[in-house]
Amino acid sequence: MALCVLIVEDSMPMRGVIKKTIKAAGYRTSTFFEAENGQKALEVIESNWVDIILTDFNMPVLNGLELILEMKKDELFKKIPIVMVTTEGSKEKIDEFMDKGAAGYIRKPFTPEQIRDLLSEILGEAEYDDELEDSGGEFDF
Amino acid sequence: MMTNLKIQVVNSIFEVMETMFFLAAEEQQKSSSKDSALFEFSDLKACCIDFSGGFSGKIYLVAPLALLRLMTEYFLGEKGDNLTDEHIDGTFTEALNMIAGNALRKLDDQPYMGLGLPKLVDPSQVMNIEDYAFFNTVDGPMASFFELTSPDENHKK
Repeated sequence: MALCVLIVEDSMPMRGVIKKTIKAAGYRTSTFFEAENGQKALEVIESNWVDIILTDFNMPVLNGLELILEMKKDELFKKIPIVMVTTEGSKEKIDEFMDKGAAGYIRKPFTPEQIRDLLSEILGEAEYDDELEDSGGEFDF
Repeated sequence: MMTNLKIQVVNSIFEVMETMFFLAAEEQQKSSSKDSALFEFSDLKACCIDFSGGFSGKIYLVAPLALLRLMTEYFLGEKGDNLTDEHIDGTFTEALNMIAGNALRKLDDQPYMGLGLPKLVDPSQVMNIEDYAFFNTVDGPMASFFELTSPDENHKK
């Protein structure tokens, strides 16, 4: 199954890096949606199927934690796994993310392996691109 | 606290530059803006980020455009011709965001500290600071400093 991924990040370059990292991790993806804050993310999921969301915490308008809280109010949206990709790495904050319903978190700076391992943990072994399998699974940016 | 924060910011610059930009950074011994080659560049950019919690302040990062362009190329895996000012500025502010977050979370003796949103500032406002930490990379120099705007009572320890 090819994944539909939503990346929520106010930094446009970081959205691009996360997208490339997921591709480099070998996941077969059908669509990447992007949103610059939590409010825009809610608009995306209102009208599109999304398998997983990777979101920053610190964003204008609606931050990553507020996005989780909004999604948990909706019967359909609350089932979508949400991964926090954030510089906010204190134990106190990470515990709060997980308590509120995040499926996992990745601290910035991150390596491609950290993204791959967490996605595998959450999504299971997804289908990989043939091209990456041929390369022996090595990351190549 | 000042010393501990400075150590964490310096270590964080090493870690972020290597992990996200594939650049090894080396700290210089000079600590005055007057004798640093960095401030001879005419195209400097500067950005800052606020933090608050047990104590509050700002962390600044200063670098020449040429280095930022290369950092953006390495970060995004795109050739320079395809890059816009938005790419470069976004990469610069995100670099500071990662440096600050990474440094603050390693201050074990402090309660949670939140970060503001990183923003570009006029580099002329920060050129006369004396307490910079200067760095060299193979692609150019950069510098960082921080200021406490609402220190806790132990900040001078």
